Amino acid sequence: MTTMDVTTPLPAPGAPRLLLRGSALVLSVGLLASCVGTDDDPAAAPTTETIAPQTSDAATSDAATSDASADATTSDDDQTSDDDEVEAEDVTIVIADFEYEVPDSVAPGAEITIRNEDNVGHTVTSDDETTFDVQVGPGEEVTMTAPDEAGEFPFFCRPHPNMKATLVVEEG
Amino acid sequence: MTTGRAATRADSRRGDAPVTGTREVVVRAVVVLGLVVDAFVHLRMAPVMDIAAPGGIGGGNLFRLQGAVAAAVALLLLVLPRWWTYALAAAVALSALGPVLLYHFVDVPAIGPIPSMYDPLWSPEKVVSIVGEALAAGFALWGLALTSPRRGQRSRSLVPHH
Repeated sequence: MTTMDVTTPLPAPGAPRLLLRGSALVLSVGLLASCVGTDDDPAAAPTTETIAPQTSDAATSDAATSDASADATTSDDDQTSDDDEVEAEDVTIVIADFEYEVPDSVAPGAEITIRNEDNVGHTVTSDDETTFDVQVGPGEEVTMTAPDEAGEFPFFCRPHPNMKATLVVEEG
Repeated sequence: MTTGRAATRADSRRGDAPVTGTREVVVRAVVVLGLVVDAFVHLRMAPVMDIAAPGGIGGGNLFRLQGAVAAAVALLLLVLPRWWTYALAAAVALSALGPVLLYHFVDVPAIGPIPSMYDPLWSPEKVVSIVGEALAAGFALWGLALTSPRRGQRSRSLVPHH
């Protein structure tokens, strides 16, 4: 340690106070340097242990740090997954008061939930009547798969032809 | 006031067909046409009513029943113009006109075996059926008045005796 270098030379008899001050200064710098160096010191266990329980069971701070990062990444992944799930849950066509409430757009092949809140049955039928044609009874909820190709798909309700909307399929 | 018999005599003097008969034929034709339209629209809409009103006995079945009865009464009236066939025609037409208007403006819930058939939207089929049913109902009541036995009795009683 640097403190050993400071204490080796003995002070001259004529300047004891100056040497003491200098020694104190050097000692302080050395202690400060040693404190700064605790990040690389395996003996600095309390700090790592404080982190470790929050992140992983790893014994070393490096492991703890990397695990923490991994966990953070995982956490971010979890958040992303949650967002995806939220988005997936949002892919819902709601039928209420004889009107369609359609998401702005859906991904190709996405699973779409159709929820009918009316007391009568409806359909979600593409204008060509072949791309998709799903019946949903009063108060029922069904699922359909969005077309695999991007594009705009106007649709209507067969029992109520004036009910119209458009499903927009586009890449995320 | 000109009675039916007096008018018939006047028309006969002019060489025209009897007024009552011609009028009745026109009235009957309109009623039959209205019922045929009613039957056509109901039978055509029955499959989608299976989807719209699946509860109870099914809206589609009600539409098929209405269509079949309307067609049968139209045929009956066509070949047998009597006061009671006009009464039947009026009843059938009103039995369609009333509900279509009711279910258009009022969200009637399911009543026993009759499902909810609420539909606040206009469609060409609905408009055509309403026009047909209204014409059939109105002209059927007119035909009923023309063929009513009371009318004949009243006409005879109003004919001046010379």
